[in-house]
This record gives sequence, C-alpha cells and structure tokens, in this order.
Amino acid sequence: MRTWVSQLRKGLVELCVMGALKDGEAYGYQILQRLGAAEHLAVTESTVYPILVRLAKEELVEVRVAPSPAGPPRRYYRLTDKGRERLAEMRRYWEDLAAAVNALVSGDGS
Amino acid sequence: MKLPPEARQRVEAYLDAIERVLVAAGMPRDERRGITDEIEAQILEMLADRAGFQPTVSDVEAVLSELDPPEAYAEEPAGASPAAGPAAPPSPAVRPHFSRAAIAGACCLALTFVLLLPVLGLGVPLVAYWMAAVEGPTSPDGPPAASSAHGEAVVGVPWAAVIVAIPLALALLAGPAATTILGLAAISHIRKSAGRIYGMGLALADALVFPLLALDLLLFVGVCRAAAGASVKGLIGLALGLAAAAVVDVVIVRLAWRRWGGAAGAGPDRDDRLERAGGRGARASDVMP
Repeated sequence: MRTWVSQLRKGLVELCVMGALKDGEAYGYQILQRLGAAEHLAVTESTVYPILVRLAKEELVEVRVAPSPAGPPRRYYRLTDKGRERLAEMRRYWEDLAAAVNALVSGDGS
Repeated sequence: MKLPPEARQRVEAYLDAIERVLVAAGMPRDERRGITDEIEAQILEMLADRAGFQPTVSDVEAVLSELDPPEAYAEEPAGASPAAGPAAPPSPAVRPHFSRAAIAGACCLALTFVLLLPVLGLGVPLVAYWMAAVEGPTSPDGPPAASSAHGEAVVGVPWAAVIVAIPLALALLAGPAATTILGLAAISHIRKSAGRIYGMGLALADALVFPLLALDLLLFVGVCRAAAGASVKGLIGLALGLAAAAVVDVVIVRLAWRRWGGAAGAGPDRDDRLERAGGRGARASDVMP
C-alpha cells in the first residue's frame, strides 16, 4: 500500500472507531467487524485495540464488562460525554477538511 | 469453551509474543493487558464462530493465521506502510529468540562465582604471607626481614602461586563489570527488538546483581556502624543492616521490573484467563482503567 494512503488512513482510524460507537456501545471484536465493513478502511485488530485502550485511558470511552458465552468477559465500549464532544469536533474538522480537499482536487475551488 | 492443552499453548504463545512487542514499545502494563485481553477475547469469539465449543488445534491455527502477526503491534516507523489485512507469519529470520547478551552475562556471573574459590584459595595465603613479611621481626642491621607467621625466616616468594593468582584475580575483578555491561546491553537490545528478542528477567538480573551487592555492602556497613554509634546491641545492628539492604534490593528490583518488566510477568494472569474461558462472570479487575 502506498505510504500516503497508509498515513491518511491511520489518522482517520481514531475518528472511525469513535464513529462506530456513536449509536451505542459495542465490544472490541464487534467494533472491529463494524470497521471491517467499511470497504476502503481495511483496519485490523493491531490498529483498533491499541486505539480503544488509549481512548479508555483518555476517558473518551467508558468500559462495561459483561459475561460472554464465547469465553472471557466482553468489554463493551461506550462514548462518554467527553468522547461525544471530541467526536463532534473531529467530525466537523473532517467535513471541513474533506470539503476543502475536494474543492482543490476536483477543481471546484474557484 | 474448553481449549485442548496444545491449542491453549498456541494461543498463549501468540499472546506472549504480542506482549513482548508491546513491552519493547514501552507500553504500560495496564494498556498491554487491555490489548491482549481484547485479542484473546477475539480469538475465542472467532473459535466459537468457527468450531462451536470444541475447537481443535487446527481451528486455533486457522484463526491465528487470520490475525496480524505480533510485529504489527510495534510502533510503526515513520513512513512505513502498515499491513492492509492479514499479514504473513513472521519469517524464521525474525522469529523471537532469547537474548544472547543476557546469556553471556549469566555466564560471566557464573564464572565470577566459580573464580571466587581459587582466588580466595590462593589469595588468602598470599596476603597472609605478605602481611607476615611486612610485620615480621626487624633485623637490627637493615630492613624488615621476610618471615612466616610463626617467625621463621621465609626462604622465597611463592612466584608460581603469584603468577596463577594475579590473572585469576584480574578475571574476578572483570567479571562483575562484564556481567553488568552485558546485562545493560541485553536490556537495550530487548527494548529495541520489538519483541524479536526476549529474556528481560535474566538481563535485569545480570545488570543489577553486582551493583546491588555493592550497594548492599555499603548499606550494611553504614547501618551497622550507625547502630554501633547509637549503642545498639551487635546482633540488632546486624539485623538492621541486613533488613536495610533487603528492603533497598526489593524496591530497586521492583522498580526495574515495572520499568522494563518482561512479558513473563503477565503469563500467569493469562493462564488464569484462559482457564476461565467459559463465560463466567466478570471480575472487578477485568475492568480497564
């Protein structure tokens, strides 16, 4: 994969992880599956789980532990108020950035 | 879910390899545990999807082959391209191995203690000989005459013993320095290896054993003298000296292990979690910070 693609995608993963939680809580593997459904995102567990742990540490998400029939307890992640604020902020920035970049690369900037 | 022992070993080995990579990346223990717990949960979810509640070793291998290699958890170097999907397993060239510097350090440590006996065996009589020569009866016509401890005239210096003892003593002095340097080198290698080199426990032991012994000696002597100055009884002073040295050792070793601690520290926890893999209730300690 080209370097610029990987760098751009890396920066977007945190936004996407938080976006995957905007409608409610989900456990780690579930978040990974939601992100996996996005065709061009192509993220794997080695990217997502460290981000989830960091978001929990920064109190942007909170964790609820519940039993799982498959094995160890599942950790359900949910956005905190602080996380929702951050997500809104990131989304605004992304929309502005995407609009600006689209305008530039598509030639509609004039 | 009950994993067969061999399958459980495969899962543990995979999680341990990731843990080592995260340790090498300098990630704190709570974050490492959070990540490996998620991966373990994912593995068990995938196994349940694939094989129900009776997975085999081949099921585990198939699931592990779909996951990122442990190296993918290393901090990505600037400009590097991460794996876009399931990556190939690590090649034999980068398969994790035990730190050679740590092993060499342990050999130096063992050699130092092995050399201690012959050096003491030769050195003590030589020192006694020298002391006797210096403190022996003085000849009225000249400088002090060499004599044995019993006052008889000494015929000659035991050069053969001196020739053997000096290189042994030099080797004995070099041993601690070499052990410490190799230990520090091993720690550095392990931290920079992104999980390809392990053996942090031995490396820490190499790096710390002689500095700690030196510190213990200083503390012991200092505390004993202070106790004697304060008119504390002899045995109590000795006990205080030993206790001070032991406390300082424990504190330093714990600090060093927390700072650079290897994946071995997380092993038993993971064993417990895998043993518990049956959907039992959550524990308070399972909640991430």
